[in-house]
Amino acid sequence: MRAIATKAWSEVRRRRLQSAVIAVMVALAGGTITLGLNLLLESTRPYDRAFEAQQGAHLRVFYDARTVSPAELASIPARIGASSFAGPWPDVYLTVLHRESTRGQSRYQLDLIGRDSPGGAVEILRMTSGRWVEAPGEVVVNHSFAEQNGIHLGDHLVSLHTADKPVLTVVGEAIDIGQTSAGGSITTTQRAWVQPVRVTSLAGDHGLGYEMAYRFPTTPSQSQLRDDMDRLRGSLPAGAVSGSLNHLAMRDAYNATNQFLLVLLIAFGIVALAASLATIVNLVLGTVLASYREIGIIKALGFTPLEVVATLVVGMAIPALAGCAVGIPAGTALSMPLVGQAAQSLDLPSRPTLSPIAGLLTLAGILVGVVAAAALPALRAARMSAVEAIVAGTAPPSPRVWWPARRLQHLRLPRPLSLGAGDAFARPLRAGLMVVAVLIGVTTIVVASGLREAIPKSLSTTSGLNGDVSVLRGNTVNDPRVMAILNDQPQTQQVVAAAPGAIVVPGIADPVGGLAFRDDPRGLGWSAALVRGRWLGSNSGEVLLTRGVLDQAHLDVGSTFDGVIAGHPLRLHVVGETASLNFGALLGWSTLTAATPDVQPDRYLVQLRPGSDADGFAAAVRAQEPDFLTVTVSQARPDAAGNAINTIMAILSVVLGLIAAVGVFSTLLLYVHERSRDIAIMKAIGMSPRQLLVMVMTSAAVLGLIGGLVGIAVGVRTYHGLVTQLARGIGVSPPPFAFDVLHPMTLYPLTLAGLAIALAGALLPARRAARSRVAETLRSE
Amino acid sequence: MSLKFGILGLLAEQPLHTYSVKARFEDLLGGSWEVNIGQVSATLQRLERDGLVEPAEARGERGRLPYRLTRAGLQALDAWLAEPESEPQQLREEIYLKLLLASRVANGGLPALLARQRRVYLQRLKDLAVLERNAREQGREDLALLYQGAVLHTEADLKWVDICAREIKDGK
Amino acid sequence: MTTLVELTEVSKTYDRTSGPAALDRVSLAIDSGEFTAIMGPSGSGKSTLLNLVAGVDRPSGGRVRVAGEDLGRLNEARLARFRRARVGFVFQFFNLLGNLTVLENVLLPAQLQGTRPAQARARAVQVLTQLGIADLGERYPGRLSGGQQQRVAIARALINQPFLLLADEPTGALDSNGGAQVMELIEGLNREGQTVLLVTHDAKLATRHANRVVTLIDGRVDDDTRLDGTPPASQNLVKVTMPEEQ
Repeated sequence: MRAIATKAWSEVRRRRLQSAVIAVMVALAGGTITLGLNLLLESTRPYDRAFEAQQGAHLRVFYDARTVSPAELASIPARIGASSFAGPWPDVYLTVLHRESTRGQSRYQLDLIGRDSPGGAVEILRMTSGRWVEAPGEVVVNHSFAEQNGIHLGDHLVSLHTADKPVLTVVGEAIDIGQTSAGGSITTTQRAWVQPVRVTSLAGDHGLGYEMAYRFPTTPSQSQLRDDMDRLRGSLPAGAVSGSLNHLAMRDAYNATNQFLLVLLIAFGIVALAASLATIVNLVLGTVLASYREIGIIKALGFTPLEVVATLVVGMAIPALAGCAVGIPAGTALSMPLVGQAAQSLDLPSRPTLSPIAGLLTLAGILVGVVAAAALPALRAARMSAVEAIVAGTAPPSPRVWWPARRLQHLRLPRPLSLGAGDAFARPLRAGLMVVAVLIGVTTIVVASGLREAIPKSLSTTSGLNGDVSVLRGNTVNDPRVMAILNDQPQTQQVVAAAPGAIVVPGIADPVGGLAFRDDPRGLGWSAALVRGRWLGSNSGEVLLTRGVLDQAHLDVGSTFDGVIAGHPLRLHVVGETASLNFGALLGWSTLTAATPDVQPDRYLVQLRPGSDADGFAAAVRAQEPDFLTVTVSQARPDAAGNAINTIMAILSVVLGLIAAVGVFSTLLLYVHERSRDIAIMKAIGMSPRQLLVMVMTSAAVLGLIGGLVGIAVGVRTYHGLVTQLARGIGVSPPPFAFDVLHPMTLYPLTLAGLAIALAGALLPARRAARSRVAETLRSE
Repeated sequence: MSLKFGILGLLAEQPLHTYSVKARFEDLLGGSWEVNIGQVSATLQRLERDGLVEPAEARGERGRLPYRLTRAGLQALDAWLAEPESEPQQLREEIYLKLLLASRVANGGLPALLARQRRVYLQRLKDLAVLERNAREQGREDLALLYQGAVLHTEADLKWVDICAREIKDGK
Repeated sequence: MTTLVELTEVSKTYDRTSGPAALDRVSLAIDSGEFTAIMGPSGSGKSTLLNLVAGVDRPSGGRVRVAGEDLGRLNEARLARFRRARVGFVFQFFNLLGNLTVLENVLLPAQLQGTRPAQARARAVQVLTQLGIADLGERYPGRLSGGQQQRVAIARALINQPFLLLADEPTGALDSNGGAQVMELIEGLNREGQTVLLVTHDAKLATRHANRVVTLIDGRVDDDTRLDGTPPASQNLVKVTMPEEQ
């Protein structure tokens, strides 16, 4: 045992460079794998865990209080087969002003729900601070909403829904599984809770509804939920159901960003694992094969086959363990903020503790890989007789000449170039591994650079859709007044008035959120959100739908269907597909008024004249109706998920690029080692150090170039696939501009990335070859 | 001893008279040795007396009698050819004697002596090589083999000189 | 006759701290056209000397001048250029590149020098023909006999018409027949004017082909003999004695 340890350690030291390379590779791979596994373990389950812990509703249905009474709602659970339910909870959507805000006047859209207690059978709220409401003037707010907007216990929220502007005091914060995401934009609604009786007075004569939450004995599927909703609508008067939200939609909303991140991470984690494992195997195999002579000698000294294998395996495991010791903690540390971020968007305790499972799994996987890679050739060597091993190690068989190698050798190029090009393919398997390593690196870089371009572009496009400034009208001011205010401003160039209108589409459980434009919004950039078909014309009944809606309802551009808007059946014609993120449907004003003739726009998207001061404009508009207009200046804020994706892709690019470079490095090191005699001969017959450098670099460059070119093709496809996946996750087709970012002018320089990776990896081995001593090498014959 | 068997060997090929024997001998050894006609004739007579050769039946040119091998003569030749050489090693070259004397008498002169001898041997190797090549060019493979033997002996002598030189150098 | 190789007080030590010098203040001049054999027992420094002259190794002390170049002053790149233009090296184990054909092996030094392809090819064919292996051009070295391989190596050494042909035990890996042929070939080249420096431990080989034998012992020149090519009469050289009958 002692002999094995001594010999193994001496081997590690003798092959310092190879050992270091193995350690570095393992560290890079181990880090990536740990990161991926951690995210995998920590990100998929939290939603389900929280959903179960808080008895999340499989289905939430919103009823119009004008059409149904609470008493009527009591019989519904049995009718749709729900096993438990909560509600009816009276609710109202209203705009509130945060009085203590340090950011000037901050307004928020709140879905205010009347509820007696945070507990119950379904949709349990988890109080994180304060207490439940006990008096009419008290309110409990969503935890993450409060956290993000600096709302504290004791602060006051002023309702702008009714003219008397009642004030509510914040007394507690709660975590709510029914909350999709905690954005600050006016289009996302936050939930808050008051005493049930308070809701009616807050609503005044406008917008009162009831919400009910249902759970089913078994987790229902999309189609079951659709059937349930159809049955429900059929049994109630038209317009009674104003909306619904099912748990799958909720889950998708959560997953849209996190799931994409996860897919990305897992995909690239596996790729990194494959790339580094291939390189490690290549390296370990080569190193063991190169020690055949040593093996022969130690066998001659009396090592048994088992001891020989043990020596080699231990010799390889030592640097691998060293790499794990660095890589796994690094990967764990890196995954902390990412897991934290995923958790935060779920309103989960912000810093979940990481289980050591990911690290242990990684460690085990890497050790198995390294041990297997070392043991196989070691076993072969161990079975040889001592003399055979020495002979095999002293005189490596001359590599067969593979046809591409021959072809390239014959190229009419300066000799070092053609020799190097030929050598690139002298060993097909090794050449393949090297190409794959470079390919993976380049693919990652292509995808990363594509996303890097596309994410800000989509953000600026999305924010542009709201105009330079958007104004939300409180229901105490009327439309002509708002239009007058806006048109009076000298900076105003164009105003697009719009109103939301949900469409019940056959085959889809929840009503599809839609936006109707009174004016043509294409000047604001909405034309970029058109994927196929044409923009809305002046005919009534024309709609644009997103991919998700089209797919769920089995519709396509050109289809006609019977939809319901505000309880009013309408024949609708799909004229195009939109990539709108916030609305599943876009429609013309005439379509909305056909259903609700007296509807008024509630939002105004204002485009300012070039060079205008948006903040000044916003202040001026706000001053006209300080309480009843919410004025928001659009800004392209990079969102957290986009940032995370970019960060992760940047890390992956660097890591995989490094892995590829180290892979090339180790492969070429083996090549230089194996061909040291040939290199000495070439030096002896007059190959200059520069020519040798060129020769070795050329063989790397050829493979790098191939890896680069294939990598770009694969990268572009991967990028398209990922973007499509990402877009589908949020129910749209990727808008055309998402693909435009990878144009040839971006890609040509990226071809050089493969070359750069290969050359970076080749530099040291090539210099080593150029500097080798002829006399010594040829002497040790 | 060798002359006797040399003559027997020549007669084994064909009957020869005395002068032909001498000429053949000189030809055989490539001029490296000259034979006395008296010696040849005396040896032939002795061989005839011992019953190993006998006059051939027909008289040859100018009435000289060619000799031929008898059965006993053929047997004696076969026996001699088959018998391995076991005579004492003959170190005939004077260098061996010089070495013995110089190591006692000439203080310090020995290395120079050996170096000179070495050069002689080198030159001799060259000369033998040329002769060997010439012999081959003349189709005399047998003679070439003789020179090869000489080369090997000279090589041995050269090695011996080298060993002596090293011994003396190391002994200093 | 001009001096082609000039070694002045050349020393070479491998182990800097201790150990004997592989070469110890060796001075030697070789004229062009000479066929010089370096002889000596193993470890006497003869291969070291050859490596220094070939420019594949650098002296620890002294000066090595070959064809007017002071090799100690050349950097690696210029040394490489010197090697491919000025010297041809023939090794004991041929050292041909197994993945190139015979012709490609022979062409390599010319290609490295940047000779025009047509010219290089013509020269290669010429050399291969001269060495009697013109028909082996498309074969791979691994499939050839040792003697054939060594001829290829010689052809490769000659392609750039070097001033100096260096051979390190060129027959060491050959059978006696193949070895003799290779040596006859080298001697023939010398007769046509090629300066040859041969390293061998074999006195017979050295004296047979060279016209000068330099003997190294312990890294020093022990002897330097010029050999006369015309032998004396046979009887002055060899005597077959015929002891008289007892």
